[in-house]
Amino acid sequence: MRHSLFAIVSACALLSACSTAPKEVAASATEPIAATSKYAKSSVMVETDIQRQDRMIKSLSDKSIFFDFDNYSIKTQYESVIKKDYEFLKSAPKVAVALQGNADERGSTEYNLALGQKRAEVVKHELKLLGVPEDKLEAVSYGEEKPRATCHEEKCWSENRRVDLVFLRQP
Amino acid sequence: MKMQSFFLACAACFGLSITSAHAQLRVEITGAGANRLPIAVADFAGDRTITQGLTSVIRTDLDGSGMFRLIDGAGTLSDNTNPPFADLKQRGADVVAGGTTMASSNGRFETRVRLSDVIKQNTLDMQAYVHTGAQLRATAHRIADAIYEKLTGEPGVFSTRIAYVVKSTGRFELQIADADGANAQPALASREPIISPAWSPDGSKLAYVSFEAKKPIIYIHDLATAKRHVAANFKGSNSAPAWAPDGKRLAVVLTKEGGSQLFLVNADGSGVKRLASSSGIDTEPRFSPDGQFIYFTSDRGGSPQIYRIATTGGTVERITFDGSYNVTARPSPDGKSLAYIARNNGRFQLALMDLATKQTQILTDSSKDESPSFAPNGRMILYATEIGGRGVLAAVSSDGRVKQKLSVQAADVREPAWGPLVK
Repeated sequence: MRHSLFAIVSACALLSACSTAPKEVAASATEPIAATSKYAKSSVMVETDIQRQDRMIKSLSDKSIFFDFDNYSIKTQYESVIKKDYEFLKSAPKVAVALQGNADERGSTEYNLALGQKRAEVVKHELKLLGVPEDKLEAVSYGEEKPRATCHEEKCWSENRRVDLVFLRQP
Repeated sequence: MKMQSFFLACAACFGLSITSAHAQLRVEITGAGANRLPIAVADFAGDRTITQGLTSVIRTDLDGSGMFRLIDGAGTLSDNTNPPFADLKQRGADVVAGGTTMASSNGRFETRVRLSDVIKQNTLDMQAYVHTGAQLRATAHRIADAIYEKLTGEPGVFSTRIAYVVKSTGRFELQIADADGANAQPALASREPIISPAWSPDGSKLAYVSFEAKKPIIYIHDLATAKRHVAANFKGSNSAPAWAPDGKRLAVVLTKEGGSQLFLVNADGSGVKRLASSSGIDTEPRFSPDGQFIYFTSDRGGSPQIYRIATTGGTVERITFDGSYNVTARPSPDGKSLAYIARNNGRFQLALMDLATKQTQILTDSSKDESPSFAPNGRMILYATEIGGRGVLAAVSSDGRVKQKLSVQAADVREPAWGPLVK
């Protein structure tokens, strides 16, 4: 499972046996939330709230923000998507979000990583402007490494120039 | 060891492993150098099961370098008999290599090689190598290196290694192979991407970026012990490691302060220091061989171009001006030229710039070139490209004349990095 693997990796990162480097990890200190969350059982929150959150998360996670080639400005049609993300985050104070930027396969691996990062950061900036606290937001990039569509033409490339929102429960 | 077992436990839970099927790289060579020296590599005297393997690898190495033209039909020639100079001259050879492999103590072998000038009819070089039966390829590469250096005045790179990433469905493997693609061994396997491997100057470690913790983090991996540590794991993305020539620090790209920006960090992860600032993207740093400058990609001028900055900071100088996409700068080992990827009419191609004259040559006719990496003698440039929708590695001589292709069956190969000379 994608999410449970992440949780284990997080635990590992916390053990610190894997590294001697400085710790400044935000996302790793939080637990990701699956749509049908097993964490719900151990949570102190009321179950109905969890269910509502899970439903919202599933619905919001499906709504990526797409970009033009070699570009990182948000198109107006995605302003309402970001507004909905903000409203949910405001209603769920213990939920943080990882903004995962992506790029299409053309060009340099590392430049595409930076491009994905820039895309994630402009979405983060929008959420900050709306009022989401900085510590609930982490912008990271997958660059061209995690294509959603794998063909080598524009119909796939446009699918891959995007920012995904991955919601995470904070302790 | 406690630390060791901890690491293994972590490796297990990261979904990493160190075993795998060894995908063999297949090498194809096309083109030829301008002034190739005609050389005959005779069959060495001694046990045929040993010497045939040796001479076959020596010939393939010399031929693939593009610096030599192999002359056939020299027959068997030991190290202590005079070569048939008249016959060799008639065949067109300028140089001949002969040798003898004998059984030595403890099941080992001794191979003696003599290199002779056919025209002057004298001996150029005599070398002896003690090796095991399992070290045949490595010994052949060392013999080819010695011949190459004697005849060109530059070190051979046949004993060096390359690192690259093999991507198959749901699996990424960082592999290390001999420069000819043989003996591929995995250094790291993961379900998440691995990119940007970079050899430490002494060849003992690889820095790379792994996404195993669902975000890019820079690790330094000691190849002899398979132990590794985190070099940079800050909020946001951590990527593009580049070693300083002294191996003590790295230039990296961090986003902890917003934006992809250049930082310097000690190899143990301490002493993080900002190097340059821009409001856009700065990435792909690479030290000049003298350690004075860092070349990098930036979109500060509106499109991605190559710039450089002194390692001590200060003014930024733009290097590329033609076209709207020039990325991934890689200074040559002598510091005189710069390999990079240029976009021309929608094609991404390997280009080489003479830094003194700013003259640029496109070295390839492919369209999806990435990640150039110089051989440590500067003669060849290894890079990733795509053929038939699959990622392959290719190499081209820095004069564009000789081309090699290295591919693995049913997998994408990418992110190549040519290791340093073996000391």
